[in-house]
Amino acid sequence: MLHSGSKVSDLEVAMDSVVCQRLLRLGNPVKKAARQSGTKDYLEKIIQIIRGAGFGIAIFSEFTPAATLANIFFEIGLCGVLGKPVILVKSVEAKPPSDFVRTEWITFNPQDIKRFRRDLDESVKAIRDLANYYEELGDLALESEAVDLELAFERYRQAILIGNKQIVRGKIGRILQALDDKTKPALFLQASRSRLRKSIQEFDKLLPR
Amino acid sequence: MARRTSGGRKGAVAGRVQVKNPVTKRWVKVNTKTGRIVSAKKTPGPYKGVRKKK
Repeated sequence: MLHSGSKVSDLEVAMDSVVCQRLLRLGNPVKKAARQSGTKDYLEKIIQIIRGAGFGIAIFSEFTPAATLANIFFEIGLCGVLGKPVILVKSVEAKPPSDFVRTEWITFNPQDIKRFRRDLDESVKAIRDLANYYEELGDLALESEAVDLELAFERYRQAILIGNKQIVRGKIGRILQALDDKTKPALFLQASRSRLRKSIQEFDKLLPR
Repeated sequence: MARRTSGGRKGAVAGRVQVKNPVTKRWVKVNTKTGRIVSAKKTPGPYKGVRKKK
């Protein structure tokens, strides 16, 4: 999340460049709305990118225009609603909005890029660990007495979006098996099972082979 | 299984397990019967008397 157009400051370009290099080095592909082609509504495109992302990184500085800040924080809000973790990166002089005062930031100081890289690596690692956390929560939902398949899928989906581990993808297969259980559920449950099966199949189609 | 003795509780609470959220660095308590999160710890360290998920 960085503003696009020709008015991007040198500081923000430097921040963006270091972040992208680091992410690629850590094996995380970078997705940006401005780089994605398509004929859809731009906002719709942003929402779809966030839905398909494992986590987000918001970058801003004291040079970021107010209108762009509104976009960035709208996207951070979207990530929050969709359960996507966000790493917040700001310059030394930038002031965060009051709602984010207590949130942890990574500060970009051009004089100390080494430290910035280290902080960013640690944050990305914490998010990767989050994949294991979601997997554990998914296991608990799937192993519970009153099995909630939707809840298990939601958690495994988060784990896959962040870590894309093959073993978790296999666990989603277990949910599909449970949905195909021969015992016929009540009529009102049949519709919900069918919806969940469709969601899982659509999600699976979008995953890289 | 937890049981009461004159000196306090012995053993872990039944039907609960805890896992650590690596981002917030706080332990989260989960109901093993429903798989749903019950609560998250507000202070550092794990819950007392609640089994950790292996």
